[in-house]
Formats: sequence, C-alpha cells, structure tokens
Amino acid sequence: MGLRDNLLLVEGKDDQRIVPQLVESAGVPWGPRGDEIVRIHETDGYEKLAGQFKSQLKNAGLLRIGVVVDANTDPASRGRSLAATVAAECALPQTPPPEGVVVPVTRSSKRLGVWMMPNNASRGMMETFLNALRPAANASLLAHVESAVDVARQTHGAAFSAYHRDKAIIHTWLAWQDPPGRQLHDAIKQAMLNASHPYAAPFIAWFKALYELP
Amino acid sequence: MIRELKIENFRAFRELHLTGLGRVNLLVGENNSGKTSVLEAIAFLASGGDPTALYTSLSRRGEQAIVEGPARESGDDAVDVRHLFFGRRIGDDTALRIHALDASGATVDFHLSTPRVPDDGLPDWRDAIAQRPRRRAGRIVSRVIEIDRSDRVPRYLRIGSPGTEAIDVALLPNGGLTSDNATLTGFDLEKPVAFVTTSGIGDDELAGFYEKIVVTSEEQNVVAALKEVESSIARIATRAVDPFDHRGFVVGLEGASEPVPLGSLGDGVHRMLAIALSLVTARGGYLLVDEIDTGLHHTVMRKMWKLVYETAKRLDVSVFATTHSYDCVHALAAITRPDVRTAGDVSLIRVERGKAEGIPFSEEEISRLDEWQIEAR
Repeated sequence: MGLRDNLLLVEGKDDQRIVPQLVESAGVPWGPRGDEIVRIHETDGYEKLAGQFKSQLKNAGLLRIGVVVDANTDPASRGRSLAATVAAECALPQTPPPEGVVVPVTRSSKRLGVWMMPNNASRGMMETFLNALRPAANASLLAHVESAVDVARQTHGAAFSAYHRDKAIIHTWLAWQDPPGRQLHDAIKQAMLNASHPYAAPFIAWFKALYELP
Repeated sequence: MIRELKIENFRAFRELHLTGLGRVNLLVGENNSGKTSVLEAIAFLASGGDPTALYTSLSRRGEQAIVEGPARESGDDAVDVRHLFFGRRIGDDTALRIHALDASGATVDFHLSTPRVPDDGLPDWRDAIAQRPRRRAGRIVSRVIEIDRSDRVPRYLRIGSPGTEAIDVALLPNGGLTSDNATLTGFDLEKPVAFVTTSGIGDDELAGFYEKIVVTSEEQNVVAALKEVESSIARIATRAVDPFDHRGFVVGLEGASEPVPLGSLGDGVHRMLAIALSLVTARGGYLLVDEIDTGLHHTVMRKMWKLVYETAKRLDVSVFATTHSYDCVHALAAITRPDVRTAGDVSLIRVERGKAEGIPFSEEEISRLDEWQIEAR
C-alpha cells in the first residue's frame, strides 16, 4: 500500500501540491512524508503525462494508477486521446462518466483511474474546479472579481489569454483575501477554499474508489 | 537480427510472444518465468534445428534420462526430451514451435514433435531410418532405434521446418535422446552461438577462445574490457595449469614483476572476460548470457553494457541476456536513446509466468526508468 502501489500523474507542479491538500482537507489522511498513500508525479504538461501514463501501465511495482488532467477547451477530444493512449491495455469509456473513470486492467491486474478537471464533462481546468470551492456567502465579491478580471483584459490590456480566465479569477480572488495572495494548496489548507464543498465530493469519492481508501 | 519471437508449447510456455527485439535484449521476470528458456529457444533457432542444441540445453540443466537397453553398453549419456515440452508431456499431437521474424521480414520456424513409431510399418521404418544412416535435406539421420518390449510407446523426435524435409532422430523408449544420436545429424552451425551460463565458462574453454584472438585487434579490446573492472590489468595470457594440459589465465598487473592467476582477481574480472571473449566468438551470430550481472559490482554495470553494445555492433552479434538485478536493468540506460519510442537497438522485456505476451520497454522508457520510478522487473 502507499508509495509502492499507488501512483497519480498530474500535469503540473501546482496540481502536485493541490491534490494532497484537497484530499487531506476532505478528511482522507495523506500520510507522513515517505509513507504517503499515493506517490504523485508531475509531468509538465499533458503530452508528457500521456507518454508516462502508457509506460507506467508496465510498472510491475504498481497496483493503482490515476491521472488528473485538465479538460481544457475540448473535453471530448481529451477523453479520446486518453482512451487511445491506453487502448492496448484496456478500454476507457470515450465519454467519461460524471463520477470519473475507474477500470481494471485485467492483463496486469492493475486499477486505472482518470479524472478530467473540472467535472469530467465541462471545459476547464484545475482552477475551474477550485473556483467552485469558494464560499458562496459573499456573492457580490465573486461577481466583482469576475467582472474586474474581464474588464482588465478587455479594456486595460491585461495580458492573460481568454483561455486562462479561470486562473486569473482564482488568483485575483485570493489576492483580495486576508492575508492576500495565498497559493492554491495553501488556500485549501487555510479553508479559504472548501474541500468539503459538495462540488468536490465526486472527485474525493473517485480518489478513494481508485486507491481503495476507507 | 530477430525482431519478434514466438514460442509455443516449449518448456514453461504454452505460448510466448516477444516483440520489439533489437541488437541487445535484456530479459527480466520472476524466478521460473522462463527467461532462460527464451535463451534456449534462440540457441536452438540459431543452430538451424540441430538436435545437439537441444541435447546441450537439456544436459546443462541436468535433465538426464536413464540409458536403457543396448545403448547402455555404448556408455552414451542421454537427456530426457520430455522436459522440452510444455507440461513435460509428449504424445501424438504434441508439438512445440519456435518461430522468429527478422528485421527484413524473413522468418525462421522450427517444429518439434514426437511421433509414434508406426506399429505395422516398424520393420521397414526401422530399416529405412534406423539401420542406414542417410542424408535428408543434406543432413544425416540418426540410426539407432530401440524397440521396447513393454507397453511404452516408442517414439522418435521429428524436427521440421516449413519448406525443408524433416529430420528424424531416434529416442530411447523412455524419451531419452542419446548424445550419440543427437550429434549424428552432422550439422554445421548456421550461426555461431555463445551461451554463458550463470556459472560462467570454464577457464579451459575460455583459454581456447582467447588463443584464437591473441595478436589480433580484438585482443586489445578484451584487455580494455577487463581494465574496466580492474584498472591495474596490463595484459593477460593463457598457460597450462595442470599436467593434463588444461588451460587457465594469468594476468600481468601494472608495476608488478610476477603474473598472478586470473582467479585471484575476483569474479567480476572473470565474468567480464567470459562476456568479452564470448562476444568475439559469437561474431555474426548470437551471444546468450544467463544472469549477465553475476559477479559484477553495480558500478561496472554501465561500462559492461557499453562494451557489450559497442562490440555487438562492431561484430554483428545479437545479444540476449537475463538478469534479476535492479542495477543491471537501470544501467541499460547507458546505451539507450531517449527519443526512440518504437523498436530500437536496445530492448528490455519482462516475461511473466503464464502470460502469452512479453512486456517490451522502448529505449525511451529504459532511459526514463529512474526518472519515472518504474519497476521493470
């Protein structure tokens, strides 16, 4: 169990810090350093993640392999790409179910899981998912953050691309908290972002199902 | 160069399919997964279907048969061919098959079966095959067939290859293949094969290899290989070690006036010498090494792979080796290119008990085993 058996592949360094915090804050103990429940590799982007995913299926030292990827602008195409990556080993559903994918790989007696951020269906990314975990109490602030981000880009020449709107939103919102400018994983730790939010529940359930955690 | 190998009904394998093979191939897998059997299958292929190769591999494992009947008087040894067949069973429908596909698309294909000696046709059959050694497809067929009076069914060993006439070799009633019958077929090896077992190669045989390359350009390369393990080695020579003219090695060390026996330098030097000399002996053919890491310290493993790879390329040798060693597997990255994702020059294959497909790792994957923390074994 743990480092030897369980691996999670994520696209970036942020994800590598966010996922353990998310899981732990949701009440699943991550374990002490060196004895974590899951080893996480960050791959620096989707292409490299897909490459390593395929190779890790041959890892004799693993029982459970998960990937967390961003759906980005075309969830269907991302789903097809992942299915094609592991087609030689097992059949992934072309359209992932809302609860995420957990499938057995019969040939190598492994379990394989896929979660597509934010919710296996919508366009978006890790930050889209995290935006949904902000407390709804101050709705006018949430609305103001969104409009400020849009105005900054449309009127004042802010350089971020439209595609990264959700990233700009969460970092702007974090800039206006007390203390300002927490990093994403830290914001979860400080409960500025709520890991027990119903929106996060399917992800946590997927994670526990894949790694067979109590 | 073999790209694909398919083995059916051979030893531990009901079926085994290996793809992505290259110039240097390392086989990993648990004990009894059949790694050594793969080496034996390749030795048999390389022999061109020579029953001597079968005899040798059975004998190497100590799979002897009791010699019965008149053959006993000849003082001949025999091996039990049943061990070659999956489940150790031979019968009318049992055949094993070894099939290889090379880079050019050419195939080599051998079938082995043990047909029953026909009841009624026996005297004629015996006349035709047993009493008169004769050539078939350019090969001599063995001559002694022992007919058992008991209820055991007399069988013979048939080695066939599509497009050529089969060779039939007599068996003892208990399935024994005598060394006399195995060698009667008069094969010339189609390709040289050097098989280095876990216990290595005896000094006497190694000395014979060495004497063939003394004062050729390969001698320098062999000494250079030894220096990778023990840098103080200046030169080596063979000499008689006993009154029966058995040969052994002495080593001249830098700055020492007296030679020392090779044995005093440890297992690593001996292993490296066996690998380096076997590579030269296998020129144009196959080097098969069981547990290639034996005796080698983990710090020499990368150098060993470089030596094997460079020599194999220079001398056109295909290398198949096995290991259980983590360091040996990971050191393979010393000769792989991280950009090669399909079949390349170097391959790593895991053989799993009971699984029909070997699991191949590309050069890219071998290069990244450390980074990705992949356990290949």
